Amino acid sequence: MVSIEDEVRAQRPYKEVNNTAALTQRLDEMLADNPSNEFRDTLCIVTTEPIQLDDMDDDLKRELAFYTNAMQAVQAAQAKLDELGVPHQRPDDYFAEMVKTDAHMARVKTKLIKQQTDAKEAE
Amino acid sequence: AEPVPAIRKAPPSRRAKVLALISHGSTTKFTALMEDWVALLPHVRKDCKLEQKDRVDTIAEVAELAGCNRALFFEVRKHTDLYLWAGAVPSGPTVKFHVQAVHSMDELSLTGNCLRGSRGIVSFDSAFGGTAPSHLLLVRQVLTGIFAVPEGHPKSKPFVDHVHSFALDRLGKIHYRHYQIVNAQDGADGGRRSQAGQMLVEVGPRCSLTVMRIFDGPFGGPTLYANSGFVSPNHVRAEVRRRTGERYAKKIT
Repeated sequence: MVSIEDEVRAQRPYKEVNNTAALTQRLDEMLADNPSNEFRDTLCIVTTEPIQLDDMDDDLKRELAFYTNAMQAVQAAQAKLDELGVPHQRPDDYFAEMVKTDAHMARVKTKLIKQQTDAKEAE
Repeated sequence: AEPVPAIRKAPPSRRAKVLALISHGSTTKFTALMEDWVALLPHVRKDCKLEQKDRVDTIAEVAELAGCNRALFFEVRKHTDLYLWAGAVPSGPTVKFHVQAVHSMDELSLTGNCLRGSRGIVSFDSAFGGTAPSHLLLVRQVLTGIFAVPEGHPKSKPFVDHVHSFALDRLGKIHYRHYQIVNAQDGADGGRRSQAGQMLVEVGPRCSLTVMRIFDGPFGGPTLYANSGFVSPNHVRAEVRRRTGERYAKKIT
């Protein structure tokens, strides 16, 4: 099926520019400029496998593909950190402010509980 | 319990800051996305809104005055379309994205949560790897510059408990997801665990980015790359309106 987006793309093509030489030059400059480009500072990982996406509209499959990919990166990154001897795990007795507040987490919890009880009642 | 890691004091080069600002006329949804990223990235500094009359290229100046070497600008148009400019200042380059499928942390009921100020892993799928086209390598470099918290950054905590993931699909959209890393000993069982006993729990936010253009300078300058696969949301809306118009014209004749 041809989507509206594809039709519009065919009718009004966006002009393509791809100045590869300049792009590569900019990239080299950025890599040279930035002294903190080591793994220790960026924690950047490029996974070895592409994401498996056959059906973009299938929510579960799509999210699973992203999950598997991120998991690979986490494993690779942690192995590298261990190799470098950089501690990265939070100790069990270390407590600090979280990104989501307790009120927010409580709201999520009530919503989940409500979903579960609703599902049970429906049975 | 493991000892708390010693904090490596950061030299000035590691104290990099990112400036984040949004245009006037934003909706709560887009503001929430920015607020989420500001909360997740301790080295991001928020600035006041940019007036409509101000030109985009003034951002480079504002960022430099604030001592930032990267800037993120959320440009909202017609209260519906979000464009994200991500650039290195003062030398460039700048990438302009069209942002779709925006869902903030607040709106998604996800159970993940991470420390405020901890450092996150920045993950890219293999489409951004070695043999990728040069524009993707540049996009990866710009995104890493923004999402990576330098080690020992004054406002960061020396733990790694979350991951920012970027994945490219066949249509050229970059999907952003953000997960918490849960270890074997804590949390309930039942998820998809790795061999090491780890599990990821999504925290949010979510969005997808389409590269529109890459500019040579900071927030402007000559175009190095323009994506021919990009479709303006204005043109899509116009086409939809034209079709409904046609339907009506058929009815009355």
